[in-house]
Amino acid sequence: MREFLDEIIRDRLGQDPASWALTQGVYLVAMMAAGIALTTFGALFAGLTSWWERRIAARMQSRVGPNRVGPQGILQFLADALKLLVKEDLISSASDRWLFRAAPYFVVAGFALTFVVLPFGYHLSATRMNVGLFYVLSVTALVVVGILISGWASNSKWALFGGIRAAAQVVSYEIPAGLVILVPVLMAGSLNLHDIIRAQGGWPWDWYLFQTPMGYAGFFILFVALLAEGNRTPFDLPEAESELVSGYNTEYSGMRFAYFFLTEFGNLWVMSAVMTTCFLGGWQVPGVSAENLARWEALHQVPGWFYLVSAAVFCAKTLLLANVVIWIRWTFPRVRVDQMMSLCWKYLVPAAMALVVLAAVTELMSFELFGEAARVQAPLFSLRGLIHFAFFAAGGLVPAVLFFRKTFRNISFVGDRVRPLSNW
Amino acid sequence: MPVSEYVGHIKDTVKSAWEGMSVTLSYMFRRPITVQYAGPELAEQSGDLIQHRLPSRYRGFLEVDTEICTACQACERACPIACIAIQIEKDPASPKQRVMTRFDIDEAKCMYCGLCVEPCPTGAIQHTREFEGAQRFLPNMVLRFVDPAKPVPPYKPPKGATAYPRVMLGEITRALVKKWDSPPPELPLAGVGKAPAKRKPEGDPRAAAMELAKKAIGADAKKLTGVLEEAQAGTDCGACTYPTCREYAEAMASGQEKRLHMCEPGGADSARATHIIMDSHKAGQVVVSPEAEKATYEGPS
Repeated sequence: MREFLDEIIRDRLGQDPASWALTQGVYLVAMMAAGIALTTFGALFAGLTSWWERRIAARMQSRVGPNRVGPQGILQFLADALKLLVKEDLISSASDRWLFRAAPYFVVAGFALTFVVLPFGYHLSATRMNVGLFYVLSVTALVVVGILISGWASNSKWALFGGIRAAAQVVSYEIPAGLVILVPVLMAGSLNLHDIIRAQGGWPWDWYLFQTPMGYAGFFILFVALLAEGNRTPFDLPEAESELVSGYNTEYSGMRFAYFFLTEFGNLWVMSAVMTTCFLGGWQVPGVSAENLARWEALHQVPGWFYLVSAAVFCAKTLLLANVVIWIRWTFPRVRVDQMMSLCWKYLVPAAMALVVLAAVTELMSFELFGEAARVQAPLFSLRGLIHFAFFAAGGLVPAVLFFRKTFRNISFVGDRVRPLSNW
Repeated sequence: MPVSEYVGHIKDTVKSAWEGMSVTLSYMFRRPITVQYAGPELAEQSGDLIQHRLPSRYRGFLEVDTEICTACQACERACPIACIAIQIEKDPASPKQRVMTRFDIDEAKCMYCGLCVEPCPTGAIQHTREFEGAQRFLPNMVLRFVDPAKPVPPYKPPKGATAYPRVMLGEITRALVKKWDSPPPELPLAGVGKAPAKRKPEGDPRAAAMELAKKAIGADAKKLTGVLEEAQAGTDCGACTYPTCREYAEAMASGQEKRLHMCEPGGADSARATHIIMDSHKAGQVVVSPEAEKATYEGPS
């Protein structure tokens, strides 16, 4: 972002950014603008997702869902937010007032700070931090601090149980997540989110998901671990309604409750964006190869449409993944605490450990076999390219076809017909 | 844990995810079974009123057809939360005639229990399938079935009638329900707050019955008729098959009517009092027979 601003100062304002007195001021204004834009995006996404999730949930239960406020009910989240805004901000007398008030800010901060590095498209991110992935893992840990504080400060047994559960769960699942995220890092040789994306390609067989078995398994392990870190069903033990009323946010009302709610739904984007970046090729546009992009950059002639198309590609992949998370929520029942723990420590941690070692060995071997060429994506019609395509077909295409065939058989089996857009 | 069990767990997880997620996804391609509510305006335009699709025993807003209301007030007595207000006055034009000047039902207060529908002798009060009555001003939820300017005389059911002519259920209520933002009625409501109709003094019903029985000793047929009429509820509801309480009392006093327990609004109290009066009249002194003690309301059949 700094280079971008320096360029504007030099070309548009006709000043030398190094010596101009107002350079720092321009930086400050740009920082504020980016911050406001990103948090607004996060809040809007969270709001719209809360509506979309209810529509999807309703459809999966043969209902219709909220379709009254605005076209198809899309403004439902504004109505809900307005209701929460005018509600009384209750603080129970037995609570630790200062911590109780502070907790939502920790949670929101842990959520909003991730947007500092999250990419949205080619060159579209607030910063291109060289330790981006590490930074995302670090600041999301702030959320659990807020949850623990809220659980403790509420001075209520439900909230305390919820907070403690959240702490146990998130801290446990940080380990497989942190380990398995090393697989794409090893493959790309960078922690920078943009570099990880650029090391992949536009076509599905150029994604890390379908490049090696380690990437394939790592994708699912990271997915499960991030589900658990985001307290999403089937790992929503910290707010298990049937056991803990509402868990750590039981005692919250009004705007403070809305912050927890916003973070929970906003985390859907964060988690999906990280997954997209690490395994699904990020903003890479199919058909635009790395050489192509490098040529444009060398000539300073990256076309305007590429920024837009890459952003669209990234958002499409992220939203698709977010929908899968919603879909999972309305499919699986909640796991027990002991099941949650054994899944993490007996299955995910050993598997993640093995994957990291295997990925490192594979990287070394591919350097031995292919030399420097292993750094870049192979064209489809080459040995490496064909291996990747075969893996994509076996791991992606065939299961997808089988899955959809099974889905439509489920419909015809009970004598129903396919009518996706009726009675909305 | 043996290796086969460990691998089996992983296999089970993948398999159940595969099965379960295809089931939930398949519902995305099916039609939701919800019947969508179009709202009153749209429904009126298309003529497809949602009310017509509701089951016939749906308990919506109450409706009173004052054309067949006997003004017996059984519904008012039955209402556990007093959302029905009936006022009966003497007609100023002809002092013998009673008229209803008020029949208000607070639909906002009503809990739709249906207890008022059951005692109604003619089926004048019924639950409709109407439910769209949200009001900006709560007093508009009070439906006034009698215009105080046009009092309604009570209905006299024909002898032996079992069915009564009633307008189409729902029409009266639908006409009375106001638009969402119609202005509230001016308070106090016209015709409300006048002295309520004279009611029998509350107290020990047995003592009251003994008092009446004293008057009946040695009385002639006309006086006995008067005493017996006083023992009935006096609402002329017609439940006893006689059009008025007076005629029922006349029949009992003349000895034609042996059934002394047919006053439905009066219930056990009236039945007991009537027995005591008749026994006392025959015996020439106040008698409370065990039969009278056990007397309760029994229908004409």
